[in-house]
This record gives sequence, C-alpha cells and structure tokens, in this order.
Amino acid sequence: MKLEVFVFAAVKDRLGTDCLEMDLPAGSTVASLKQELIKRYPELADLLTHCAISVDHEYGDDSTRLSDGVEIGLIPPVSGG
Amino acid sequence: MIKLVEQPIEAQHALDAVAHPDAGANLLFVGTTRRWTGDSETKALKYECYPEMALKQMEKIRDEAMHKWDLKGVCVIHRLGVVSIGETSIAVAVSSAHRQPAFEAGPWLLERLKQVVPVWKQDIDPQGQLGWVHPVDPEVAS
Repeated sequence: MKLEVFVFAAVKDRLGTDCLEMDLPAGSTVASLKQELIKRYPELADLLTHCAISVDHEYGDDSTRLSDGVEIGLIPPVSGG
Repeated sequence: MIKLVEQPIEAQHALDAVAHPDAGANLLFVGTTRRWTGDSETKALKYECYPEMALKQMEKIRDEAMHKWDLKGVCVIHRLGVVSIGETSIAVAVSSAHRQPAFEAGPWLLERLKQVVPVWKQDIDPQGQLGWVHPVDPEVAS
C-alpha cells in the first residue's frame, strides 16, 4: 500500500520536503513504518527514533495497524507553549 | 474556545471566552517570548504546527480537563509564526465556580499541551540564525 507521510520541523528541514511517499506491505504497523523510514534515511536515525507517528491525527503506538487512505504524520518532540 | 492564530493574541479575549454567570474564579496564563535562556539570547521565536492534529489534540485536552474538574469554561489560544520578545505565544484561560478547580486545571492544561500538541518552535538569535528548540532540555522548552 502507498502511504503519504507528512513531516515537520527539524525532519522537514533535513529532508527538504513536507511529505514522503512510502510503499509498505498491507497490514504494516507503525513499528514497521518507523523501521522502513530509518532504513531509507539512516542519516536521520537519531532524529527518527525520537519521533512519534500519528495516524489520522491521533498518536499511534508500535502495534497500530496502517491502512490505505490514512493520514500519517511523523511527529518530532513537540515544543509548543 | 480552542484556536491557532497568526496574529497577536489579546489575552483578554481568552478571559472573555471563559466568562460564565456561574463562574466565581477566572484564571489566565499568558506565555511570552523571553530574551534570555541561561546565557543564550533570543530575538524571537518562530512557531509552526500540524494544524489539523494540533486542533484535535487541543480539543481533546480541553475535553479531558472539563471531565476531570468542574469547569465553566476553557480557552486555549496558540500563536503561530514569529513571536517577538514580550509578545504572547499562548493564552490559557479557565473558569470555575470556586478557585480550586481553576488553579488545578490551568497548569495541567499547559503541561499536557506541551507534551502532546504538535507545535514546534525555532529560536531566532540576535544574528538572525534559526535553531529548533529541543524539548529534551526542559529549561529551553519552557
């Protein structure tokens, strides 16, 4: 399945884009998406391991399953306020 | 009222938003850009967010606070873009019949917001250099 991953803040700056396209097997989880991202961008591994993944604007955990059409966000540690 | 705004925040608007005839306590927190964090000088902060998720998470936090305490009103307004020294980046207002719920809910709202709402800031130093504020350093992030 093809997924769009929105990226923000330091990750967006480092990658030079605000959206990544990922192709993952059906039934993939948040954990497998993170592994795939680290494999694809090893230079960002430090940053990526500290990021959370959102699925349709809710925080996912490692076991959250991804499906076609969901909106995914790669969320670096937040610093609002 | 839960809002993300590009324009300067009028803190009074947050208090107005929680006004309620049954409220006897009205609490307001205003977060502003400060010049010094330790030895590091700041000229301004620049905020960005994931808008749909930020609003959703802010609304969830508001709903959680309304559930945990007997509140009459909750308002959170967060500014985006460049916020100069002394300007307001966030206003949180809470009202309740008596003071205790408001005094407890106000700090809780702010702490939760800093943990889960996808807003990020960059520090702009006097030379105009931008650097992401990393929240692992609690003093810098606060």
